[in-house]
Amino acid sequence: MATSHLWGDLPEVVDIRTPKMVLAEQASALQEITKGALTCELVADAGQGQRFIRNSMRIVAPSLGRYSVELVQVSHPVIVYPCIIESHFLEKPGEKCEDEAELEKALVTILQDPKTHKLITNLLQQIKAENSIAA
Amino acid sequence: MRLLFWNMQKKDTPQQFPAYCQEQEVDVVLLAEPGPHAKMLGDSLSAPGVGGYLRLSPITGRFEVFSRLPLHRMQPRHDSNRFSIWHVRPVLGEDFNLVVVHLPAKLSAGNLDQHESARQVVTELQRVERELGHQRSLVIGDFNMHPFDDGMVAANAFHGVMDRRTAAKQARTVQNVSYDFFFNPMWSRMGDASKGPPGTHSYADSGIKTFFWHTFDQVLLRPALLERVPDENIHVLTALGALSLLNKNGKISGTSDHLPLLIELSDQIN
Repeated sequence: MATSHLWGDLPEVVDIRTPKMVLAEQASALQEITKGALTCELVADAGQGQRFIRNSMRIVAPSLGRYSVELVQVSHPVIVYPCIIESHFLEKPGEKCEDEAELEKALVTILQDPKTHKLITNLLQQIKAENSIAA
Repeated sequence: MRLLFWNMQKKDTPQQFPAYCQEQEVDVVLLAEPGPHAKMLGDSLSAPGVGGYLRLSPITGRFEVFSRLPLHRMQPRHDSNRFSIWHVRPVLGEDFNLVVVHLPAKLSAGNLDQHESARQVVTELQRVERELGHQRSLVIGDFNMHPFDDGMVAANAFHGVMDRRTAAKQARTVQNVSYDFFFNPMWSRMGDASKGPPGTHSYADSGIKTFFWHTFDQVLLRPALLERVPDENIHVLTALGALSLLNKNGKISGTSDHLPLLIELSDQIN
């Protein structure tokens, strides 16, 4: 006798890129572009009241005493979209993203902001100077 | 080792400020909401006869920081919009972690938001403490909270207690989670009977409840630093030399609506 169940027709699982995956891709990209001089770390946090999962991405300069700057935060409840993206570093208030395309679009404005580029340039300049002292 | 913190409310420091820093041998000047000419303060602080201060201001722009320690003795560890963390290695005495904060104001942030900001600072500091392998940490700044507000007191936020003996117990467990203490000496700096002025910031709103004086500018000490910062090493300044920061009625007047904090860490405890 076939096993019956009461679950009904469960919806098909569609692959999505979670906010954490989207951030992780950009973290890897920065590490590759800077040849490892800068890395990015993702930190997951349950947040106040544990109603949201908050993933933050920070730029880390390993050779500058692991100096880090928190660049972007993405929060979402158990259901990942819509999510909220914000950047305390840029004083950019939270922006609601309905899906991964909107998240990527918002992320571009943060990663390509002049202040972000200035930060990266300054860190790379210091790392270069440190390396030349050590050489 | 002397630290001076002052929320300038976007005003410039008084002319007497560099000379005061020299007289008091201030090692690190931390300014929140710096005035339009604060960047130039480095020049006057470093003028001949005043001492060589380096501008170490974080890229976030919220603070201006000047230090007369050699560059390698004050290493930045983390910057966020509302706080910055340094690993400080004084010439004498053990190294410590210095956190400067300027947390969201009550006008723009509710109690829960302030609590969350506090929690984020502590989470980040704990990461640095783990990396450096010690808890010699000091947090100073404008918390925009009273010592008795949730974000200052709650175990999962600053966990700042009013009693050194309690703080010396290091931590307490709440619902199976251990939370480290801070000692908050500013509990003892509220009201007329306290040492110094009744608070660090004066503001009276027209609501049914107002305190008139607020102790938003605070310093928190991990238990490991308790002996290096006795109460007599903590000063809420009401004057910079001959320049009074209070008017004849005892209210803050002149430069900023906040008073500066001057903290001294003893070099070594045997």
